Amino acid sequence: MVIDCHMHVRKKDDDSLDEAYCDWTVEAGDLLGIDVFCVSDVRLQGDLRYEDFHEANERVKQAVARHPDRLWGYCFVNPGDPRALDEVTQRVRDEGFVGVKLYHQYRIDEPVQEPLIERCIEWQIPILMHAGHPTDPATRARQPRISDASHFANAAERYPEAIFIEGHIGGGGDWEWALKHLREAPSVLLDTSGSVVDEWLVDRCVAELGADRLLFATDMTMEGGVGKVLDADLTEADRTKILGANFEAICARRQVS
Amino acid sequence: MKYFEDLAIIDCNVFIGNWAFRRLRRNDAPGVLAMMDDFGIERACVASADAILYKDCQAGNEKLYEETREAPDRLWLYATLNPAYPGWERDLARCVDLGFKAVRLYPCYHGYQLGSPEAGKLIDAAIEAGLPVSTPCRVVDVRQRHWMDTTDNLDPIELIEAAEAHPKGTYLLTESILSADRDNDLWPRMRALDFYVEMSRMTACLQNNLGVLVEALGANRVLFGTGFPFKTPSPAFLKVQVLDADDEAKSWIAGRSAQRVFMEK
Repeated sequence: MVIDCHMHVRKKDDDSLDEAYCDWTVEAGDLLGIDVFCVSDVRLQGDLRYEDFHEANERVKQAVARHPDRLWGYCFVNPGDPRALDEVTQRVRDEGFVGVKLYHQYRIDEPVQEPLIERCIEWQIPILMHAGHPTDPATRARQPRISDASHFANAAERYPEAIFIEGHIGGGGDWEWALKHLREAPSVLLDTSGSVVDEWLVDRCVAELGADRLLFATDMTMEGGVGKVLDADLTEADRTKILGANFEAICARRQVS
Repeated sequence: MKYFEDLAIIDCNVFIGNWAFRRLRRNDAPGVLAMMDDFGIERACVASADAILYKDCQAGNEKLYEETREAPDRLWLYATLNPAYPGWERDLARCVDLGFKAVRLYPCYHGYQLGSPEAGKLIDAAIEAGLPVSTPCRVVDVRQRHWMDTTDNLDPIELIEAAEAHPKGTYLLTESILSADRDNDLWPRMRALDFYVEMSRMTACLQNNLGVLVEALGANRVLFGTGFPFKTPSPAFLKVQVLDADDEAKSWIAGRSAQRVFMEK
């Protein structure tokens, strides 16, 4: 099974789920051979209130209900909100979401994340987080609290049992810089998504980290996401792991009670 | 991996040479030709990666010529020129003599505006020599730039405006994302010119800006490109493969548009 572990749904101007976008996503999967998309609905800028992420997760729930065989949900929260854990409980335990999605409200190694990380360890569910090491001043200014690989290494040192997924190695940051740090953080996983389709990118990830730590994803870069994994010089066994088997193994660890 | 057995593919966005800020592989002529064989690419239009960062671009052009002279039928060459550096007139003449097929400009790297008088002189000279003018919006994603690399991307409107100021020329915009709506006034402006857009950064899924490009500008103005060896080739092929367009349109994108630019002019 080919699983895109980092994808999104989106909303319309009236804040309702953009159902057409869900359908286009599934159609793209049909064309490109992607069986399942793990989706979240994230708010990119501004204050993130409980009502915002609760509504976002409600849209994800609707999307999953629309395509139950093709879309799996992530629960997006602001870890600084006192009701974040309640939201995770509702979505993951009661509604079957596969994991937690974090954006850049806080870095992954900040103390505010600890209750959330500990819950995810207890349940053995993944935490996928928007991440990167942007080197241009404009992007850094827009995302002052973005987590980079060094923050993941810090968090993983403290919580080696956690299933951390650093988002989109092709998301535009300095991916060579990220690989240098992640070599020292063996429990951190990495997804392949992002609009950067540098030749040699996926090969280098596998060479530095091993195929067991790499997860296929698009983050909306559909043809690029598939193409860069197809072009990498990999054994078919490693390609199978990256394209879905690794994420299936993560899901098999789930112990939600 | 050959995606299309029945299309004559011309890749208009290829480089040979080194990039100072990241190691590339398969970035010499044998490497590029091997990639072309693997993917069924008949011809490629190749620029010198070295020439972008050399003060004297012509040194890169000469090196590119030497390296590719065994395969002139498969590798067509862009002449990288800098109108803000002395001697480009003679360099252009030399490249014409060597059979280069187009001029390549990098205003964000060479520190000038496409609308400047100096760039205008070079564009006029290219038109006089019968060469198209090609400009990429970027070489690498600035979000992962080396600390000594540029932070700027070229806005496609700059090439459109330069083309409007020199309307007898042929223009190739590469590495761009044109996400304009179908009714945007950019499309008739481009249609009024001999203006072509390379598609490697567009998409045929979700927002489908490649589909809009084909519909609004015409498939016969869209050029196939991979961006190799900076970028990996399959994404470009997959975009053409999944594009909701008929075989005629795909044949223009795959190679007929480039054939018109490079062989029929």
